[in-house]
Amino acid sequence: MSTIQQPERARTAPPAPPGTGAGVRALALTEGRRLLRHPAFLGSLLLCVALWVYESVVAGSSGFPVLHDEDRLVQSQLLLIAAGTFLAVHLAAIRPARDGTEGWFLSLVLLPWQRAAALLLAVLPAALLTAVLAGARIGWLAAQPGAAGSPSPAELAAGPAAVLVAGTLAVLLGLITRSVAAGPIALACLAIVTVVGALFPFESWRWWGLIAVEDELHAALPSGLLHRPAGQHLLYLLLLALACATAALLRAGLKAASVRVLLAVSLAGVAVAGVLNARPAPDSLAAARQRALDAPSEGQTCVKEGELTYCAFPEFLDRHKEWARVSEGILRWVPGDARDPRYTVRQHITPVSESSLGQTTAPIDAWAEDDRKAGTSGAVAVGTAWGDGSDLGRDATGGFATAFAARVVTGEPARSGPQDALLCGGRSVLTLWLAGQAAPGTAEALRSRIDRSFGGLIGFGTVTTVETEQSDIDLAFRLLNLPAADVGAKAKAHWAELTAKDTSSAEAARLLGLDVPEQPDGYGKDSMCSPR
Amino acid sequence: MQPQVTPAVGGGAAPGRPARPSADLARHELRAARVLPLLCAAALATLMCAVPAVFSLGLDLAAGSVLLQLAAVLTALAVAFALDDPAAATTTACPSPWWLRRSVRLAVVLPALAAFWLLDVLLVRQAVTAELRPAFPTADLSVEALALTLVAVALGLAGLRFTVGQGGGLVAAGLLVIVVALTFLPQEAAFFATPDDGAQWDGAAARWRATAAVALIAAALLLPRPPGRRR
Repeated sequence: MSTIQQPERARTAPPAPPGTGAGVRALALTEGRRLLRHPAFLGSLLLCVALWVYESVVAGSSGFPVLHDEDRLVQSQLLLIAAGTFLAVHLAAIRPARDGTEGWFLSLVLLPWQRAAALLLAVLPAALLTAVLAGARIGWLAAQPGAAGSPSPAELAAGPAAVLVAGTLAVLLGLITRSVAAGPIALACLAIVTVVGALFPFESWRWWGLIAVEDELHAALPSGLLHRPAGQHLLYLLLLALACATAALLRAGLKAASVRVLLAVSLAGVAVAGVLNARPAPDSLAAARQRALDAPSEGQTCVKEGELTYCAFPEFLDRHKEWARVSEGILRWVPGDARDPRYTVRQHITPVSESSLGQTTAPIDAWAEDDRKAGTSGAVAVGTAWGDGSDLGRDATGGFATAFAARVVTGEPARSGPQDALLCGGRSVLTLWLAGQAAPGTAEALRSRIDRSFGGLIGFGTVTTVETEQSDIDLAFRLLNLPAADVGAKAKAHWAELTAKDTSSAEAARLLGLDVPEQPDGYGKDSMCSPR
Repeated sequence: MQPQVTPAVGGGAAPGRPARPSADLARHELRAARVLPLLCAAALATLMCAVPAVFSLGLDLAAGSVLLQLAAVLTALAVAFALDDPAAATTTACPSPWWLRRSVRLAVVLPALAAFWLLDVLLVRQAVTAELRPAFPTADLSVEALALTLVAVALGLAGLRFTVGQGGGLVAAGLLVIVVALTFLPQEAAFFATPDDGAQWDGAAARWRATAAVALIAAALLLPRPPGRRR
């Protein structure tokens, strides 16, 4: 008798029988455990962690992170876990249909909506685990030497929130259609939305997606110059998850008025938050960016170390230790009387341009004017990137080393004309040698730039550019193979000759101790440096 | 005893048997196959490819190829579902060998997909800015789509082996995770490059060709394998 009565009661009595709260909890625990052990979830988790391990250990490209950028980059990697969660939860939601046990479930104590509620609750542990991973990742990055800035909690929470959205959406989808194929296809559609959003990093409508990608090829900006309504976006994601969850409960048969109201409220909230997020950036932001670009000195802090002054945006001020290592490595071979009494290094941002093709040039004249006003004339520019793992970092490191060496060798600040960036003859060889030997990694940075360049002229630098000829680079790298102390001593002894404008590259190389044959007639005649 | 073992196509020439057994087979196989996901995915992909052409957005090479790559992933995803065979447990006794039955499905599905792909390519090419159009890497992208499809087929067949003929498509859903993982690969081993970067694009294209070859061999090896035994 009891076996027949129970399904009767379950089907006819909408209010849950006593004790079903415990049933929902028990089922949620089981489903939660199953989700955490599901191959799709575990696989995506492993992939995500493997990515991080590869990046840090094998490629070594996670050095000198900018934390207010990394908090956002973590989101795109956590989307992998969101995808795994979506597949796993969707399979769990349609499990009765796949196993042909739907009919049998009617005989159980839990109503369909209660099973849906348990499935929804089971997404929480996965989101929690994702949050822990996001925290661990950013903590690990923050512990790296040279980490700058501070992460935003709202940006970090967006990853776990995306997992919540994926899980609740999967439950909803599983209740709408029993098709297995609907899951992967829906996931592919989500991926398309994300990719399309990433293709347009300057459009404000991209905030309607799960994550909003910025133009990641651009070097870091100070956090104040970013326009990221991260808190509102987190709210948007959480409300979206709530909307999916309530819609799933409604679909599963919980027709209570409170659920309908909650669904309506959360949908309205989603719309409002989405519209707020999609507002274009305020004009004041563009003005602030332009100010920081043209006249950075007013927002910067300066620190004096040794005989050099380093000025940087406050978040990046700690980087001056890295810059000092390079500049001191260059200055050690410069005779005292050839030194400028007050070298300054000033950090600059690069122009933010919306078109990827339009190369924008640095406003060097405006910088010179700003430096004059700030009393730091002739400052050497350094960017916001740094490092020895990624191409961007290597370019920044090698670029600063060459820029500083050129400043020391020529005695002049960088200039803006197209021909002014070109260094010739002995100056060029000496500059490249000084830059290459300045600190561990700078030679590697120069070499990596050369490997990625074409043509006879090679430009170094991400903020300002120093151009040299390939033949001078070859000589400088041959010099780098000699002991630095020997070459350095010779550089100190022959400084005036080496830095004279009319010293040829071969003469300079011979002065520095390299055995260079006399050049045959016509050598280098068609080069940019040869006198016309 | 000998005649009974002959595993000929459609069994022995029994009286009353249709003259073209594979055509007959195709009807039943298509009835059993899940074509709805495939049609949905292919239609969705085509719809997506049509958007920039309809609104004449003027794509650059990178955006155009991303669009076609997405379309290829979406369609490949659904291919494996077409191989799913919920009735595998009962049709084991069927005289047609497994390879024939699956080949029949693929012989219908793949040309249909090729037609969709042709349409997608034409639409995207139309949307690419006119002066860039000659440089659009249609051949490389088609190889990529073929490779993705073959991987989906191989994964689906492998899935049929492990899941008693029911969840081949599910295993193929792993294709999505694989693709997402591929997008995160470092530059030296990238599968998804941008055509603007010639060297990297050529490297990626070579990797796709290799993938297509491996997947083709795997699919050919898996094609005649019967479904796994029920646990």
